[in-house]
Amino acid sequence: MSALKKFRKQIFAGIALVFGVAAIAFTVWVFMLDRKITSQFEGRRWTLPAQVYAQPTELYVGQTFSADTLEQELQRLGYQRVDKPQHPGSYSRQGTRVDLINRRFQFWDALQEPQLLSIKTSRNGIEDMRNGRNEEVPIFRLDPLLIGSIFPIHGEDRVVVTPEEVSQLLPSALKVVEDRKFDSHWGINPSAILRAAFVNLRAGQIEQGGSTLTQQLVKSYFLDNRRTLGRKIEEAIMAMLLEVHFSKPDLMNAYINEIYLGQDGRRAIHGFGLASQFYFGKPLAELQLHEVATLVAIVRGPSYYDPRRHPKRVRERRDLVLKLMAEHGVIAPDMAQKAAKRPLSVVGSGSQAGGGYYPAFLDLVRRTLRRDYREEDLTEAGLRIFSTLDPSVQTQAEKVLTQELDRLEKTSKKKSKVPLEGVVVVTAPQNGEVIAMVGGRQASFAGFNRALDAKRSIGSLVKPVIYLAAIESGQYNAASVVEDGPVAVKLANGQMWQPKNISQEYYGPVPLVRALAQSMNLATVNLGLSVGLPKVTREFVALGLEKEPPQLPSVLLGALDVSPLEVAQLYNAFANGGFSTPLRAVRAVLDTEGKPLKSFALEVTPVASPDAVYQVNRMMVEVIEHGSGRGARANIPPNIVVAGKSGTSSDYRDSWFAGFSGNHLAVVWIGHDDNSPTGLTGSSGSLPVWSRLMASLGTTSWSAPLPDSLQETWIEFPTGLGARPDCGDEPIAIAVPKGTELPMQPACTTNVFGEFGERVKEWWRGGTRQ
Amino acid sequence: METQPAPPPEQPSEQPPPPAPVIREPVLSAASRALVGQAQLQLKSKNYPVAASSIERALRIEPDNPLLWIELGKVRQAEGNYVQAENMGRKAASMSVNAPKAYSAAWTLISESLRARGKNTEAQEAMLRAQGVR
Repeated sequence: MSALKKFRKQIFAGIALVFGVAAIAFTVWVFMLDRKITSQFEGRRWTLPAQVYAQPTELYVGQTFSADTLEQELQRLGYQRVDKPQHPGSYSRQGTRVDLINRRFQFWDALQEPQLLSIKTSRNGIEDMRNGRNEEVPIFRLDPLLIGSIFPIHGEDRVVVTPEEVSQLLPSALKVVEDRKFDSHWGINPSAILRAAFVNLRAGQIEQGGSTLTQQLVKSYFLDNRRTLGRKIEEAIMAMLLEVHFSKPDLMNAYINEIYLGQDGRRAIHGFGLASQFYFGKPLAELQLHEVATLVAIVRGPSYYDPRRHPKRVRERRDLVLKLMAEHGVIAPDMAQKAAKRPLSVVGSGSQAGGGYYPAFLDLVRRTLRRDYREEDLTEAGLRIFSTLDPSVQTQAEKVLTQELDRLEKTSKKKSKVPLEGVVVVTAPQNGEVIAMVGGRQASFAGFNRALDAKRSIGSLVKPVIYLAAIESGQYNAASVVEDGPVAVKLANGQMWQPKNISQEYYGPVPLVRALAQSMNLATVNLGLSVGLPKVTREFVALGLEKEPPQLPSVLLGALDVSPLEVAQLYNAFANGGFSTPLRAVRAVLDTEGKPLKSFALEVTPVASPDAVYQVNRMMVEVIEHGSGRGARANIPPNIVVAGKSGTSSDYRDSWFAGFSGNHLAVVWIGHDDNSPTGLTGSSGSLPVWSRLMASLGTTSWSAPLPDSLQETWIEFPTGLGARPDCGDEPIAIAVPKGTELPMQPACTTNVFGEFGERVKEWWRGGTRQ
Repeated sequence: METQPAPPPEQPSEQPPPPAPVIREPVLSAASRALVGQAQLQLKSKNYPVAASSIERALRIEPDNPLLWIELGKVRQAEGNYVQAENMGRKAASMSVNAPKAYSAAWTLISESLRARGKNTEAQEAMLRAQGVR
């Protein structure tokens, strides 16, 4: 006792010391937590993945939109059909008339304010377009579809919204359902914790969380799901610290932008802004009560309450949310009842905006921008990227490819172990914009991007380049005769190269136009060798191939490994009349404030004689009319002029078709990933995909005007002898330089250039008229 | 994307073949006219990328109209990109078959662009083409 008394001072000192040290340690710990959480909070608010938009739809008088097409377009953009449009993002329809109010949108070159548009359509398209003051509007851009974002490796994607973009319903609903004391507590809610603990003890497992919104926010920042006591205490302290530093509205806004709301493959859907696009295909500001309630229902467990997989479960919880909102006076009870009658109305997972649903195309966008921006800028700096994608063309391309591959596999006699794969690239030839890109059979699967990375042998797709080099040399025209006969070339290594036709036959003397149309190997090799390999290989580079092919005779038959995108670049020069324009996937880039950072302007470079290109293009029209592309006519109406070329690599490993109309160029590849034979030619595999796609796009005729230095004339397709439309074997019209004299088919010895010249022209115009 | 070409009046096919080629000067559609007008204002305020972007919008609607390629070439010319100005002129010329006015405007643009780069001989030749002398 006396000893205790004696050492009282020391004991007190000791205890004080322990407490002191503990207090200091605690303070330091809190201080560290404070640093951690505040820097998280402030830093995190600004890491925004770049948002990528599709090309906007232009509305103008003459645009070939029916009221149905226009309505589909508006629905794709998530516009809501109403009786009378009152707010942005809504429209009404009466028969052929559509009224809409567009959304406010910052384009790269102008700000588009919302306005009322009244659009009258007829069978031919848009007939009249007026604004709210009944003034004619010559042209109008709709806000573009958000097609995805460039999110970082850890997969967190979000679209950040400001408090003004959030309906007041959302914070109120969140408070009622998740944290009723939010406005008054200081980070934690002890009574809720106790209640939760009681419920959990009784149930013997964790059923209810007592976390405030602030605690959930902290938890989300550190992506930690451990439910240890230490963890809980840390979270609670951090929540209180956040409350000290930041206002309630700030915290609510952070919560709305931070919280995890779903998973899309590798991509984690964060924040209500993106979730609104992901589940409903429209901006958060436009959500209706039942949709807001659905999102609030998902908060509790995005995988358990996944509205696409468990609609019934989500609907029950949504109705509970509505009931709670009514009970706490957020909404009137009859509103809740009405909303509870609505279906979930979640959009299909393949169709909604804001998705990583065009991985091949987004990959091209990312690679384009990687030349100018660091990866962090793309994933964090909140850039807005205006791309060239046309979602309706993309959808068609995906659909046609999948259906045709299924059909090919079903009808194939030889069953293969590996599935058929395919690629489609579509461009607008005159400006080089890539408007669709499918990188594989499962278009929404991000993986190996065949459109860019599958370098495959292109077979006969090389032929137009050789024929162009021949015509540019001035020694050949479409009617010139070449020999399709045995070829033997001694190679540098001493071996003999003896190519064959696919049919194993020799066709003898044939005109160029037939040799190209029927893809004759031996005639082409003879032509290429006589023009000279260096001229041919240089032509590839001129037209846009990055690397000059080796000067080997086998290149004449397409022993050349090229990606589908590079093929598109090459053929684009033909479709563009001998002008090359770099293929583009991006039009412009804006920073977060809407300031333009970069634009990718349209550039054209003359790379080949327009007259020579015109002649080859007319020959490629004959590929469709009389040659290996004839099958296209099963899908494309006869009055639509298209041009193209098939390609088949050795042993049927690769099936290609590349071709164009007036406003579309498309390249299709089909093959196996392991490069094993498919048994398909270009005509049996890729051509049906190509022609079905072209037909479904309602494409326009290729109708370049006949250059002044050329004239049209008729020849016999099989022999190349001069003919007349009503005379000779399979007469066809070709373009040749003015003054070209052809040996006539003896049976048709009237002067073809005199009285028939004009008839030829008439025929051609008639054929190209739409 | 569906486009509507500038509507050149299509002559009835039953007519006897005319002695000279039919002249078909291109015209701008209402939408293109509005966009070109907008671009000309933007050009005045030296806002070249935006002016070009307006013409590009019109070109997406009427890619075969040489007048639009000439307009785009003029924007490039104004910003001092004479190579692209010339190229746009050549593109326009290649589309101006049977359209002497458009053809002449295209070659005038080519000539001016060549002159700006000090290629006086070629510029002179281009000017002769523009004047229809060749």
